[in-house]
Amino acid sequence: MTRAATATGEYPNDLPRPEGELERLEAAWELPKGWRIVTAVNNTVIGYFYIATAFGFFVLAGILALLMRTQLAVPDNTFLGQETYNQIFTMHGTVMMFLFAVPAVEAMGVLLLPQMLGARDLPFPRLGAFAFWAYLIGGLVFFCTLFVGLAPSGGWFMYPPLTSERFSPGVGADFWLLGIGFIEISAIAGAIEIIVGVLRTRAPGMTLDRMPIFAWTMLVFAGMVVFAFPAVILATILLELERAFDWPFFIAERGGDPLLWQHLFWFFGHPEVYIIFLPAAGMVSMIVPAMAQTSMVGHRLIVVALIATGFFSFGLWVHHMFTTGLPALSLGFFSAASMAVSVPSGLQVFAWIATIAAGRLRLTAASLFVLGFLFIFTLGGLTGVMVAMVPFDWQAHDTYFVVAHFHYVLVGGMVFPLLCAFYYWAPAFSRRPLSERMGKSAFWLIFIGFNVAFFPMHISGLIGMPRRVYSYPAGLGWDLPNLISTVGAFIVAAGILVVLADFLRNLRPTLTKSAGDVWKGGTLEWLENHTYGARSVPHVDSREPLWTHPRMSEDVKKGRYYLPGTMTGGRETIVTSPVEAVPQYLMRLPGPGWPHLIAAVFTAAFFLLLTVKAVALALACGGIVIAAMIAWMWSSDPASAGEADIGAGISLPTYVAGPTHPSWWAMVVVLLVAGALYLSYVFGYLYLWTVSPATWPTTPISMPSWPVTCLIVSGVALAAATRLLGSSRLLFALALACGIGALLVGLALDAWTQWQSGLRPSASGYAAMVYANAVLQAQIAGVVTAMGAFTLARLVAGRLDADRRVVFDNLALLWGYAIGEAALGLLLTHGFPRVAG
Amino acid sequence: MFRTFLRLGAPLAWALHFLVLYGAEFLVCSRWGSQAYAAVVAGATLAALAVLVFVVRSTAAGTGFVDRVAFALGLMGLGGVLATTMPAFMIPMCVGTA
Repeated sequence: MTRAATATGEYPNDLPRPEGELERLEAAWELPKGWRIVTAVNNTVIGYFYIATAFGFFVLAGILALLMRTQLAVPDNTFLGQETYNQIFTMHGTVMMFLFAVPAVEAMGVLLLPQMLGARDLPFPRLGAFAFWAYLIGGLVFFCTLFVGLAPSGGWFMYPPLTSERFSPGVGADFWLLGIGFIEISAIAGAIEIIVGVLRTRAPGMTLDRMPIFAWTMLVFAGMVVFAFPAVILATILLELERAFDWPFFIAERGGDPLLWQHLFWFFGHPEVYIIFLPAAGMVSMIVPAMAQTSMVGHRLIVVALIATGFFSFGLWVHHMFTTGLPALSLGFFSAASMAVSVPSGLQVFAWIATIAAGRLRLTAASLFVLGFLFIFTLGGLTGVMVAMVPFDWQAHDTYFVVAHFHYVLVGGMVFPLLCAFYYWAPAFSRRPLSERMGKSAFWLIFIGFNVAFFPMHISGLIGMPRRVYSYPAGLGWDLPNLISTVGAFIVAAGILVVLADFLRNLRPTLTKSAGDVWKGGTLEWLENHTYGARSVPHVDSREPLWTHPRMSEDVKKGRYYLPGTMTGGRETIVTSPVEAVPQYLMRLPGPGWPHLIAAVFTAAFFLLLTVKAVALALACGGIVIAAMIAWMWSSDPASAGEADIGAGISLPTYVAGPTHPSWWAMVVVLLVAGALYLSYVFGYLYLWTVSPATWPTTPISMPSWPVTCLIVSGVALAAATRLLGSSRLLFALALACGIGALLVGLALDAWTQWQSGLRPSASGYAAMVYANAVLQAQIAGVVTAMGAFTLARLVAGRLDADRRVVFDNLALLWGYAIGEAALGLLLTHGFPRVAG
Repeated sequence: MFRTFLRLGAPLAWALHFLVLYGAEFLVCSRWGSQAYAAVVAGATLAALAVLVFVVRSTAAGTGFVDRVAFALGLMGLGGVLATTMPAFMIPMCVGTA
């Protein structure tokens, strides 16, 4: 043990602290009172809202599961009709995956990460709040479609042709496509916040090596969201275009292919399993060491396993498509990758077991949930290896064996760790810990109930019971396993009721006086936390700083470490370098406000009104969204407030631009999202060519010279604007306007050329793909145009110059990307037919 | 800094290799046949192995966190590339792609 606080052995700040310093800090972070709390943006408030909402959706989807199990309890049951049953199983899967699992882990990240990393808040609090409100409103409206018979009924994966306009008329499928696509965008917003937060707002000294495993898992999780979710967003765009305008992407007889949907969906869908599992595993990796009172065994190996799992999980998507007639060698590649991913997953399991063996595990409710997780998830992993074998999968595909398998993986790998996390972290955020007695009772009910419910499904599946049937005849041997499964489901529900009762009785969320470090944890979330996080930001020199420095909690509270007050009078957090966590910049953070909330409400309204084809109203909502976003962004780039002394003689700038600024990183992540979406499109284009080359033109239209010229002009203007920002405002504005104008004209000319050639989007899969390219390019160009107009407005208002240039830097990144994507689009739609023709 | 993240992204070589093998089976087989595809498999595998061996060799002696993690990721990437290539030796190429 040592009292050393920094690398030099000194505390960054002396005692006593100046009078009024703490009061000023508290005033800066004061929360809105009463119902105005909805305007709060703090990670703690939003984190509470987020978790409560996600758990609420879990309960709702669980009730749907009970309805299904009641229907299947006995043969020939008439409790639910076929269409109702179809809607219920579709909503159960969709709500569990999109409205519970991903938001729940994201919520845990929003709540825990700033505390764990020693930050005052995440870097973009309003973005996080926007993501939450968009998710809440979109999710609620989506769920309510069940009560008016408008819910989708095509399964949570919405395969066409079943979900095409021909076989699923009405708006149920549209609600899924627009609603889920929109909620995915909200998840991406959260992921951007998490990536930049983890990489740039760690406490000084918290190098990547000292970063908690949970932060690593959230980083990998968010990275996977960035690359996986765009594929399903593209798929929803294409299917909605097909349903609304008859563009035949998935209609086989017109050169489309329904399997394209499956490829895009599962390119998202399989990583999704790990997107859910990895953060849950990260929670377990934080809880096991605290419960065993010893450091995690194989910390670095776990980091390796997390990164490797993140990558390998992208090579598994076809193992959901083994029965679709793909070539044998393709199946071999995916089967091999499916086996390979078990290596890093197994590494983590062995590390947890070794840590438990190395310490003395206290048998708390949280520990029981960890042990339950290990048992159930490992069984799910083993059946996963079974279905990764192609011949076995051919037998078990679409049977209840698969239902049993993925529930063992998802409930074992996510729900158990989440419940474990509630019992473990409740004392950090509640005035009282949860009840150990009720927690243990809940565990045994859920553990026993789960196995009673889902183990028999392996058997009913192996004797031939298919998934997604609303009823079955007696005498097939399925009666008893189904009855047992139904009994088990209700036992699980009883366990969840005990958890809810425990919440009601003991959970008292607080931002000031939590029960505290009852488990003797070693990481920073166990410091005394307030709305502003810890009073001062500690210097971190080990993986478990509270174990290394037992007095740290007291010293932090006294204000001996960095940034013990507010330097600029407002909300701030220290921005550090991404690898070594060296302080670089004092970032000012926004406080409560309405614009992000209004933007979220009307964005949800925009998408939902589009679903019911109320176009005029939707456009009006879109206008309000733009206005709200302008109001939101206008104050987001304040001028420098000089240098700020955070302690230990470290003086940080209050304004930076370029790669040091977190928003530059956020924009880079946005570009990765856009790039992943466009590459998914390129895959789709090439895929349709391989399945129906006959619809590709044999004599392509002439190479479009004007669009190419326009793109070159736009690129030159971008370079000119970058140089002119510091010298001539007028020329800068001219270059900006001309450059973005050239981009728009180039894209319009290309689309016009295709139209003039007689090509119509509804003619074939090829034609639809050509115009889908135009749609995607127009989306990016539209955002560039809006950002360009915003940049010009700031220039006119005197809020943009050579130094205060973050807004333009971000625009330049997106603008450059837009030119690149447009060039790739020209190359693909004009060049590829020539090569392939 | 970017070099650091690039090193931690050694499995990217596995991902690209995987993508080339899977994507080329459709794109190359339908036009140029199994011999061309075999050449693509061999070329992509050698390129991926070369990158990963470079990462493993250049980080083997390092003692820092990034080096050790990059080293282990490199080894795991090597395993992944070999596992992905194995089916190409065991299953006939370009069958069922027409």
